[in-house]
Amino acid sequence: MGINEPESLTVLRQHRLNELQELKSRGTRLIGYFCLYVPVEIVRAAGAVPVRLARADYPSSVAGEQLLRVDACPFCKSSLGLFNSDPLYQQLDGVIFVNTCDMMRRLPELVATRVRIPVFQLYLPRTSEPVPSRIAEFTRQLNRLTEFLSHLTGTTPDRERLLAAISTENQLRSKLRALEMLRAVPGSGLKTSRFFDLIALATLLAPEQTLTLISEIINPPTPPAVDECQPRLLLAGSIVAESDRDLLNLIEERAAIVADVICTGARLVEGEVATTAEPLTALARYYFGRIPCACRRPNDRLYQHIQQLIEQRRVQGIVYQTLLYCDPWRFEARDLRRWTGLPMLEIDHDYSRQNYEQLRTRIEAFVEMLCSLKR
Amino acid sequence: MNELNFGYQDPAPDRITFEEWDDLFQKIPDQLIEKFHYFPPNTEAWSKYLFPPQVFAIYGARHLRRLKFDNSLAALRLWGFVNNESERLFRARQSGRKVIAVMGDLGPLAVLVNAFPGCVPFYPDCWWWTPFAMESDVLLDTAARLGIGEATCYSRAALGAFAKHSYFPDPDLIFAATGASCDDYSGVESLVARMTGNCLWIETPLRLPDDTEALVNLLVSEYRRAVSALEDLTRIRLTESMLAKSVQRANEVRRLTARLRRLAYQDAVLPALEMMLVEFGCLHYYSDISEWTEILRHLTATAEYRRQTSQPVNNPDALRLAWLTPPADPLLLTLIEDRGARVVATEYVINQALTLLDESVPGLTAIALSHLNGSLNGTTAERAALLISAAQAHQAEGLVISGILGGSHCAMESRLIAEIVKKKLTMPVLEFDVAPPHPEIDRSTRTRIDAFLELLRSRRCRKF
Repeated sequence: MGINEPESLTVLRQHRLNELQELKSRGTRLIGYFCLYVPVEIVRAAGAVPVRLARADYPSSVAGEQLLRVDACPFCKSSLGLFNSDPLYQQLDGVIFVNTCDMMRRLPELVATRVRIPVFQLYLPRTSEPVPSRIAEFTRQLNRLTEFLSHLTGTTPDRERLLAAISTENQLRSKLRALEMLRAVPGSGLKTSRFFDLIALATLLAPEQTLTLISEIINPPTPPAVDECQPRLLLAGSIVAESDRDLLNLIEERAAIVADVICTGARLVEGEVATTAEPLTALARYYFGRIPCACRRPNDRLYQHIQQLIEQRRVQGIVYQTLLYCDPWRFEARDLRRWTGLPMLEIDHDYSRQNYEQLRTRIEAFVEMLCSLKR
Repeated sequence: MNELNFGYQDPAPDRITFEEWDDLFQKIPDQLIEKFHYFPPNTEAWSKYLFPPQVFAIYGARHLRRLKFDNSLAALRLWGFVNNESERLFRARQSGRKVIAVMGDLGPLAVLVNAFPGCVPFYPDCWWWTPFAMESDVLLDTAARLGIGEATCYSRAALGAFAKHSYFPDPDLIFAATGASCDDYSGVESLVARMTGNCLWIETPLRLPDDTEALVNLLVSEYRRAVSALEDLTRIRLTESMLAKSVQRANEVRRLTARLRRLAYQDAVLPALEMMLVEFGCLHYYSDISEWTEILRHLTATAEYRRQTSQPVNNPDALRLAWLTPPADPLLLTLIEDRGARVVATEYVINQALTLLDESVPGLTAIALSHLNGSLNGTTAERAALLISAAQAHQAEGLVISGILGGSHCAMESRLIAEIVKKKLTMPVLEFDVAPPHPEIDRSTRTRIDAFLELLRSRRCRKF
């Protein structure tokens, strides 16, 4: 399989959707989740299948406006719309939400009352400093999640099951990390848009399926994706939805995205859960301490992580894309520009394609500017 | 007769204009003006604040020229005190007090800060009214230059105020509460923290079912961090009795406020605008709890006197409205009263500052429990229930929801609350976004308010 063949990934996705339908008919519970702060290990250990809900598009966003104001986050609006239209969303037996932002933390109420799917609100402390009482509270939250899942599936995620799930996910993250680093290597053939596709698949497939997929695609001879002459970019900002590749494709027509801090991208695969501590404690520490989303306070570690990526991957410019009304990311744009000192292109979007050509022009101008700086 | 008026006879209750207050002020004896000082028992000349609205309009509060005010001495005292807060904070610094900014939790943290002698807590959040009061975009433009542009809650004015260094002194310490606070304000806090480098983050959790004990424990541990920071700053060790005293003082304010709400919303003895200032006073007492408590006593005495003598300021039979989220523009409250309606129920996102603190438990626990009453900490259904209960208590006939374009919780809540209220109370709902600062209410909002009041009037006619 070629890395840059989206068609083959689409086939895999469809195949997995059929498989999930069959699993469900045999009694397996499908649990949806939105955020990378949800410990999928617990879901797996409870005998359920975790499914990341990261799709979004304009029609479903418009559909979501039946219940939400126009100035709500397009991703939240779209997610709400998809519960009424997407077959995968409609198969879910439960959904886990995290209070990462105001809109996402209020969405479960709507889903519970309108869609009538059992929901679980996982409270993640917004503050990121690892104060023991905060981690203790998050551990308690994971215990609550365990109870919720046990109730749904009838399986208690005991120590052995949790350790096994942790080990599998660690392995998966490690392989995906290796893949992620490839895109910064000239000639590796891995584009960021495809890496994002793989990540999306990894959150849908069974871990062993993903591991096989990675081993198949990690070494084939492929045409170089990173042209040494192309500007090397870092992608930052709001969630990039699974079905939203237009922006990435536009950028990659002229530049190479060699790093990102997107929650549906590289941030999903960083770090490892310790296997030496009590499983729930280890999971709490790992998820609490992830490279912070812009919504965490303080989020200095995110800035430091970006700075590291810039240095390690010789980044020359930043594309900062935010969804309309995504406050947590939008407010950081100016400070990030100042912090890095790099040229930055800021893009606001809402999944509509109305400004596609204008976007192309802006991206082309940005890339030309970077090229002229290089000279 | 209201004894706190020191012999001055209030005219018959009325809502008067800016110019009319100027005339009325001439009748207030000089000795009376000398009686009111902030930071009591201090009586220095610099601490007088009983001035007519004109004085503050000259300082820049241009909006005052377009509002209507209650014509009692107590209300004049209220307006003078509220408008004087900026000066008061600078005086606090000059007189050796520690100025502590508490951001984001709207009420509870101020109780803790007040337990420390010589500490003055204030909420920069409340500077969101400044662009309206001054009819100026300066603070909003400054916030935009710093990264928070349009289509965001007006609380972004607080960021502009920090950057300008002229609305309040640079705080000795900043507590930034986050967790259950809205994204807009959490963003403001984040940028302020980076700008000042003098910020302690306080986790303020969501209200989750059946989790009170654990959440209280978390909050208490967060408050202990704040206590340590304050002890380091002041070199005063906090005792349980200091905290208990602060809790009692806060409760006194909250009791008086509750009494005023009953009087105003039931008997129409105080206007909506003054009541909004009263409700928001529970957040941080406009940086001086002692004098604020006296002002509330004065207002209560005035309101009681009016009730006893059957002298309402608004027609008690005016159309009765419930109001959700504070109207950023004070002109809106003036307008609805001019149009023959009155506010009888409010849910201004500050329930955590209005409910009584439990004096039977340790101070930090009481403050934590108070936080968990927060309007925005729980579900939308819970917030709607708060409003419904208030609306039912005073037979509200319509609900006004004044939102803010881009305000994170408005986008998710407004429509749902409207739906819940319509269903439960079969009550018409008017929902609009408050326009940016402007000398006048925009025409479309004015028309919508007029049409809404017409609708309520026709419904009332049909009932009878």
